[in-house]
Amino acid sequence: MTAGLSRREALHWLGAATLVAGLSPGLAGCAQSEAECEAGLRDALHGLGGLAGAALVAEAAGLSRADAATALCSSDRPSLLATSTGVGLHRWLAARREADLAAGRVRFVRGWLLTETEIAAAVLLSG
Amino acid sequence: MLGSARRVPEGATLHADVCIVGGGAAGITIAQALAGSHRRVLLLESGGLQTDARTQALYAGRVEGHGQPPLDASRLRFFGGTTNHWAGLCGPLDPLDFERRPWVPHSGWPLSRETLDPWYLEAQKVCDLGPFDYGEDAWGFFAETPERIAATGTRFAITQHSTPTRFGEKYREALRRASNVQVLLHANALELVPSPDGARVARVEASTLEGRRFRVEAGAIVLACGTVENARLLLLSTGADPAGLGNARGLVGRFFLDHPRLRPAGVVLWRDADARRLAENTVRDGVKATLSLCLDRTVQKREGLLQSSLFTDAYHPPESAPGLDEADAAIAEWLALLAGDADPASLSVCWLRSEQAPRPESRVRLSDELDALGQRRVVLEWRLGELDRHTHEQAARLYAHALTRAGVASVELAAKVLDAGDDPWQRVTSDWHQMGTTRMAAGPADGVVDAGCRVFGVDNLYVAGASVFPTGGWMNPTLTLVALALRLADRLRSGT
Repeated sequence: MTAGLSRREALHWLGAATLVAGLSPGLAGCAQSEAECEAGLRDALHGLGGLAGAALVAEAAGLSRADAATALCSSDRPSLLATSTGVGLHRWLAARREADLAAGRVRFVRGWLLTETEIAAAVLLSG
Repeated sequence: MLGSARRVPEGATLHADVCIVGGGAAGITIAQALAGSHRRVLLLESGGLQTDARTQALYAGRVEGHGQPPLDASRLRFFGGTTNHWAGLCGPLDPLDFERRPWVPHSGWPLSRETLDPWYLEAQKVCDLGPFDYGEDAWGFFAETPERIAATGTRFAITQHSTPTRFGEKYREALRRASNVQVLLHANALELVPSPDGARVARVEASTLEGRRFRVEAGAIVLACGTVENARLLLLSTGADPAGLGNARGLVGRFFLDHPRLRPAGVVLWRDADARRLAENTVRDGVKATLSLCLDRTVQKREGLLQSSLFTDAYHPPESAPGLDEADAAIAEWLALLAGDADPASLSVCWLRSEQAPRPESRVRLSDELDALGQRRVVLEWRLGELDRHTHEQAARLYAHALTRAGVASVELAAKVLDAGDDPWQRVTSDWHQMGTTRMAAGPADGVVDAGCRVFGVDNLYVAGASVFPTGGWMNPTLTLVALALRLADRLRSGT
């Protein structure tokens, strides 16, 4: 842990640095393939934990892993570096979630009203 | 003055300017408001100062239709009435409740919320509440009002908590000291006997449980014995009409209302610490208040919905959230991890209370069974309909969408809310708020009492209590029935 910084502050600092790196030429998300994005994103989601809950959502979602990957990686793809820390991933997910909410891309799965991004993330993580 | 009917001579006739039948919230409010006036007031109370099983058993009856609590458990028959066990939650009805809504059959009061506002102000004091201020900003729930929630077609509502005031205990001494008021305990009204032309009540026949009979002659009679008993006493009073007093149109007992409740309706995972205050109470000047969400009138009109409110309570596993199983907890945990800034322990249980659509089939009627006084008992048929079902399902979804779209929470709705299966009513419970049965209307074709709570066609007979509500909104009824009682007392004081 960085001396003098809380864990949250340290993660925030790391995340900001990573996002800056993610925007650098040659490292931006658009440079990676959909397959690379899928693999990187899956690893990143795995790092967050909560597999059991995600599996329950995935089981009821009626969405294939391929469709989930397409939904998450066909556009507005996260950079590998951006998703390599929790803060970067959370920011990307939050932006996607807001866009989903604004566009009305939500539905009930197992009683939970979820955005398409949340549903796809559950499927990708559990697939 | 406080006395007992057991000491009234057999066959005696008592006289008063105003005879109030029933010593609950409405009856005590009127007696207290008339204390010190020039009117001689006699209040007949069936019970004593404490509960006793034989008197309480007079309330027993049959329940049909959707689930209602036993009639001898939902109400209390001794001085103070049902305020002896009420929770004390209070608030005014919404202005929309008083309006005629084309999408709600039989809606509309013959008076406006504005008319009742001065009486609400006084009723706040009677019920030991705070200021007549139901704006959420006045109660300081939020450091900064989450306008995002208000932008989703919802608004906040405040419910204030009475101590809860036990009317029998609080006002007993004042009534005992009032020289113009006599409270007669153990006095059961049996029948209202009309004058020969049927235009007035000539006398009230009464009896103790032991069979000592007496009568009361009064200039004005006020029925204030609760929603079910007000209708019952009118139906039992067949001197002028075998259908009952004030029942020429067959409306007495009809349009019984309650507040259908879905609890639990679901689970809320908060993503915003400030918005989470929705699930907490606040206290201002010693008065507790609860915050809930309501749907805007524009949304209600667009979707064709009744009034409703979504409450969120702190989650204390496992007793308070039977709807939250291990799977829900696992999903909540994952969503919290996904959000990064949500605490998986930041959960609330949400529940929905709604207005009931007025329906004539929802009613109180007499049965052939007799109570210990030889009076016919009642059958309560609580009937809900399609508009109620539509409101439960659609309103729950709209609240879930509102909180989710505002970005302040993730919401899970219980399976029984999203799909009730073959029996949409198995998920609904009563909130023990009995209303209707002697509804207020502009004319006798649509109701039993006029805007002044006078029974159509009977000059000196008035009804007080929630039985006069034509619609019941979603708010607890006591503050409104106290406000109406104060308004009626003002009219009785002037003798008009």
